[in-house]
Amino acid sequence: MKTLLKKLMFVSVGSFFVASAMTTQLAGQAAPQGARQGGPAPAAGAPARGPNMPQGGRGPIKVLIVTKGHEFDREPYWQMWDSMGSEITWTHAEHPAADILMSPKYGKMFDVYAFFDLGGPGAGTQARGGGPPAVVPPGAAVTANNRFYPQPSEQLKTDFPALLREGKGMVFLHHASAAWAHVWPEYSEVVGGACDWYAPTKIRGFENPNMGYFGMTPQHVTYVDKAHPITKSLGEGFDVVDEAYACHWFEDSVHPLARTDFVPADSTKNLNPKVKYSNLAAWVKTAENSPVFFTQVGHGMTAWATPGYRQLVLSAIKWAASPEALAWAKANPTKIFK
Amino acid sequence: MKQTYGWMAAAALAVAIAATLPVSAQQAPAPAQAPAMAAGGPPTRQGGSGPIRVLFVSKGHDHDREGLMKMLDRLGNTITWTHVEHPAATVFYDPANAKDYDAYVFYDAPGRGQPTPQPNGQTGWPDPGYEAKKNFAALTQSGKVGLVYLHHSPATFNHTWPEYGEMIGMACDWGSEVTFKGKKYPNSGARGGTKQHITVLEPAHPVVQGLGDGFDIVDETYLCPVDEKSVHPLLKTDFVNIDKNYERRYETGWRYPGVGSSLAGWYRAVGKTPLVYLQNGHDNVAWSNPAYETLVTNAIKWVVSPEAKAWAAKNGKPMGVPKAPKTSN
Repeated sequence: MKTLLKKLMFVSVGSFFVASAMTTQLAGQAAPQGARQGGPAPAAGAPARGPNMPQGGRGPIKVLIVTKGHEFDREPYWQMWDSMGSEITWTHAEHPAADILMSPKYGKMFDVYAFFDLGGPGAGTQARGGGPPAVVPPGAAVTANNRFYPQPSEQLKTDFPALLREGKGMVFLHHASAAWAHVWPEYSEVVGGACDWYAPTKIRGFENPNMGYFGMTPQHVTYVDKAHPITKSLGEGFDVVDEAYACHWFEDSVHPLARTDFVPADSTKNLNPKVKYSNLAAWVKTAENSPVFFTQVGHGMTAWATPGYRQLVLSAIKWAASPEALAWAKANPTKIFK
Repeated sequence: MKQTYGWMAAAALAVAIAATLPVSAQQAPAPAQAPAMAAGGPPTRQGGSGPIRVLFVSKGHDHDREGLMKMLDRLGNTITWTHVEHPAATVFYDPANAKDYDAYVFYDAPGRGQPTPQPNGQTGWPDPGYEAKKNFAALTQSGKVGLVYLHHSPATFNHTWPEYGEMIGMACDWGSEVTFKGKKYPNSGARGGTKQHITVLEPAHPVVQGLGDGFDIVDETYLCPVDEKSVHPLLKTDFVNIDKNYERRYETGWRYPGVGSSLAGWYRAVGKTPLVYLQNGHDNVAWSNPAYETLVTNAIKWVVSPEAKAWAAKNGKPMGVPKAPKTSN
């Protein structure tokens, strides 16, 4: 009963955040003058951007936010980033434009890359809705359940490793862990794990069934390294109602920061029996000479409006941009790309 | 009785939760790239899946982001759009980085209002730099991508790149004086929520097909310098464009000489590139007007068409490029 009450409480708090976010979103659409003066009001339950703070913020840390490949509720997501506007100035870029920016040449414009994308998303090969079958690009991986996954461009395969070798703060969020999982294993090594919920995968030699996603899961995220610069001022953890994953995380290649109390009922439906379910919820690692942060949390509005989640993301951005993190990565590089 | 109330409260909570949750939050996530259903509208996919590849450029003017993105999504059978904001957007002024796109749609306005702290530590106006300016001129000369400018986009970089507004045919800044074709103008006028009738001036042009002789719209008007002689007029507003009609500004002592342009849309050729400007489009009231959606769709289709490109290659003049900065040896 206690557990049930706890879950109900999580859900009701989460729905309050969602309702607030939706209300402000609608208000923004209905009030054009409000938009002129600064756009929709922020979601409840978290610090707002000030009345004179422009969309995109004006803080000293320059962040490129990369999306595309997985749909999401856009405005509440932008509002989360806007709430950090005194600390960061953020710029949005979608694939394929983002590919061009993931390079040493243009990396100079930004201190941190924050990925909420799903590079190389899969699609069905079969005709749908009376339309023609999809055109499968050359070199794409085609899975047994008739999904295809395109290859990254040669330019991206050259530029992104070069950017990582130079040393740049990298923050990967939630479904960004599914980028390029079928076709570019080195990319999964950069993140520290791999997902795909819609087709079997072969990760680090292990054949996995469809990985698991569990929407609107009340969970407690506990910091397991409370001394790390990212977590040291964030308390012991936070409650959140969010999508949980059963994905293939590389426990032996990351430094754990947080774990979730969520446990899937039967992880063998999602993962190779030899790949134990990992409850990692956040970690740091290095990729080439770059500091990397990942958190599995962050699917939707209930997470984005949770103060503990916003604090974690902002702290991770500040860490990834810091000279200390860049020096740590250079002192502890991980060779990934040939 | 307590139990009854408890059950009712639980039921009410469940209903409230169900009512407030968006589709994506109620269910497990849709597969990547799956279409989402827009309320009351046709199925849309974020970013669209149409054949015309559009780079959508914004930043520099706050707006209802979701409302505008939803409008672009509604064009999703015609376009596939990719968003990029400033300062990253200037990277795509380079023709070498334009290969993934057929058209650029601008809803940006960086460098307006008041000077701000710049990377050199001084307070001033953001400057995209000589390379970006040279690249953009080369892009227009290449004819690779068609250009569509919406609403406040002529306010882009006026104080550091006046050639840019001249290329569009108009320049604005509602917070500072404007430089246009070598002359100074007072800060521009803007009047939100203005009921207007827009009249079509060239009914045979592809950009205004489906609009009949015009349409009604409630939208923001502007009072900015326009080089009417350099553009081919497509649309005009019946709003009388004089300073007295911008009541809120006028009451504060703001004055603007003469009668402003009533043009609300035009096309022109720049280098080998066809360009369309549409003055309307401040907010969701305009974006959800079917006539506006038709206009934007037509404009995108036209600027990427072989006919428009052939016309532009024949009629366009090269865009002005500022002098290269002196290099210190």
